[in-house]
Amino acid sequence: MSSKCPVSYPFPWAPAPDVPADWRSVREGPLLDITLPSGDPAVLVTRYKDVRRLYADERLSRNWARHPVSRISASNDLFADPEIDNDPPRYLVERGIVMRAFSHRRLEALRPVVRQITGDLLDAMEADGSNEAELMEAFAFPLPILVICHMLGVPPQDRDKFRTLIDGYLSVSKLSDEEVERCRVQYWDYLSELIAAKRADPGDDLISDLIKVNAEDPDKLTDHQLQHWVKTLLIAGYVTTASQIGTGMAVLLHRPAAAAELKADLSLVPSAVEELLRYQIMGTSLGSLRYALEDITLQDGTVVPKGSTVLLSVESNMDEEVFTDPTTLDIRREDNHHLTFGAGIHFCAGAALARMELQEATAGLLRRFPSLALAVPGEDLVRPVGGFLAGYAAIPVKW
Amino acid sequence: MPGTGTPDGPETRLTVVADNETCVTSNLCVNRLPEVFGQDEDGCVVVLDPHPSAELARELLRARRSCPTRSIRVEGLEED
Repeated sequence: MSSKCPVSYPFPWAPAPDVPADWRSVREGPLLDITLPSGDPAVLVTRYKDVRRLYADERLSRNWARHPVSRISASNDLFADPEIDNDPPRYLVERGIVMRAFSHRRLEALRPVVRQITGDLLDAMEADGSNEAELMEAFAFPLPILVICHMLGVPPQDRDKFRTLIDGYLSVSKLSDEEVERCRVQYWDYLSELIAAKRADPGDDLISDLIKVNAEDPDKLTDHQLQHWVKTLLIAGYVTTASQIGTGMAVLLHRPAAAAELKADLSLVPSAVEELLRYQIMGTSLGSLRYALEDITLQDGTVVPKGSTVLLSVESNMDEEVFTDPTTLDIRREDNHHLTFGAGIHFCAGAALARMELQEATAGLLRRFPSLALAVPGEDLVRPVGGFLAGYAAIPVKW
Repeated sequence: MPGTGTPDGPETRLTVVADNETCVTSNLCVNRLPEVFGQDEDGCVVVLDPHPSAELARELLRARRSCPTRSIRVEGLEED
């Protein structure tokens, strides 16, 4: 354990699209004592090699309901669900069912849909005639929302409804605990209705596929597990992607030289997307919350004590032992094995979909609006308050 | 290791093994080297070309390193 006083986590977010304020945590030691918004203790593993290894370590449990895991906020058990086991072998059975929809072949079949949605949104931005827009609402949110609605078979007209509920449910300190609980319950009720409607009228979509598995073998995927996966996929399907589309563009446009380099050669989009994923992730490490079933020794001999609640730091992407000149944005960076999507068996299920969306979004925006720029100084961009993700509340752009 | 050697020319062949059981369908290997890696109906890794040319060594190392569950093994190449 680190001997220093525990520090509050999440760390304060950097005010501008600049180097994350807290990346220096990597240098302070391999293991930091932290305090979560609930006041509960946890430890933060900071170094890349430890983080990479621990993502794949089964001595860290993701079964939040079975162990005395520290709470994120006072009464918001964001993840804990007594009926869900996120550890192997059970987790792998469910994950395997869901991952069929994310295979290379299935995602490539989805690419024209992503391209079409991107094009329609760009058309709408252009048709407005003002040559300016607020990127989050005009583009960054609707793109992944429409894609995940298409994939899951969720009616796109439901989007205002589920967005409000999910936003409340993901609040860490923005809303009262009662409000968070109300959103959680109403979101769950919404999903019950959605799944009932799909059972009555199935389509060519992921929810209908999961209903089929559930109907054929309820032990393989129970009603509750089915609903849990739909709940998770709808949230994960757009919240993080929208945030990263916005964050990535803000970070890029704040650096005119890098933006010009990319605009001049769109074949760099894939490596630029990876670098933007590495460089300033839009989240916190709260999503990596795990519980140590045993003592675990880190690379330098430091021990993560059994019974600790463990977070694996996203700032490990700034570890200079692994990344050359980590605080420089290099859109041509090679061998960019960042850990933004995690690793091990919990590797982000939607990573390949997110990459496709980020690539289509970035190329689409820069191709359509070659003069795209921030409409306010990057330093003036405002962070949302009290949520799960950093990102930006609004990103005014012009072209 | 048997059947391998230093990748010193286009004639040298490597041996690629992938573990279908631990695959988590990240698609990273398929995207990087579609001529070597494919997927079954469930999206799990299948090695299409178990003895690719040593010219692909660099990309194979990257594929191995980026696999989230370390499910790819390349015989005949140094660990990175």
